[in-house]
Amino acid sequence: MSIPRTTEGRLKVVGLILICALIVEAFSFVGHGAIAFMVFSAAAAVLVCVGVPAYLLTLVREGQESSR
Amino acid sequence: MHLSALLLILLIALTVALIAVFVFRPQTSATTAGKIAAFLGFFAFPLLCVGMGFSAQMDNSKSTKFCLSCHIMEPYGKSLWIDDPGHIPASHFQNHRVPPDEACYTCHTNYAMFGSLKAKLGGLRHMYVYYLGTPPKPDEIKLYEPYNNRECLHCHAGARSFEEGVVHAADPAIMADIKSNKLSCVSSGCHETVHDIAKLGEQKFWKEPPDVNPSDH
Repeated sequence: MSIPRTTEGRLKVVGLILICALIVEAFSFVGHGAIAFMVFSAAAAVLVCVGVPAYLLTLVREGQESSR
Repeated sequence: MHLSALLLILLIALTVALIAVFVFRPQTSATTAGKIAAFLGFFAFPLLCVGMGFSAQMDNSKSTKFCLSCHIMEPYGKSLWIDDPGHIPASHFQNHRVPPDEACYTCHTNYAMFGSLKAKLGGLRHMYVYYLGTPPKPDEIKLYEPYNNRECLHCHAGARSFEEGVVHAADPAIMADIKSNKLSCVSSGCHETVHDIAKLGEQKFWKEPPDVNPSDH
């Protein structure tokens, strides 16, 4: 998969990552056992930890590109 | 479902909807208002959702149901229903001397500085061993360190039944030894019958222990 070159494209990818994270998080509340906790910490939290810095990076790149 | 969980689900739904706007109509983020909304949707709300979710999961991890969701803990769960006041966990659980919903955590946390954190890190290790390692058989499970009287005294210290107990108060040295953890509460001849899962088949139960893993996993 190629990395999107435009801010809009990058936002789309970040958005999809975050949507996946939040849907997984919502599903983790269906269960009450250890599996729910594992799903939350190993999938939802990790995806948010990837998505949020990716969004910040998108903003930084946008700033760099507009200053050129 | 608790109100806090419902609020969290609503926040998640709102955040997903907000992000979806930018995914399907990226040009929305071109205006100042759009940029602010994007910042909320891509940064503030997801972090809030994860923070609230983490807090809810941590609260849930204290529950008896959570601890017993691993099959190797089932005999320990059943031992809470033994109809014998001499079984310390059973009598505490059945008489609500510990909150029944948080029975395991109440006795097996560590009432010292960072004790809760230590207990939770221990729990994470249990999950790692259970799902990715080789879990021991139920009767092979041992405490990391001998049970500390501090955990009992967290509730019992100062209680009349404890301070004036016939054996406890028979000799001031006994009380001093109990309080300094030199004489264990669960030592032989005292409150020694803890989760006696080896003899679970011979026990009479107060009630039929509920199936905590009805759906299995």
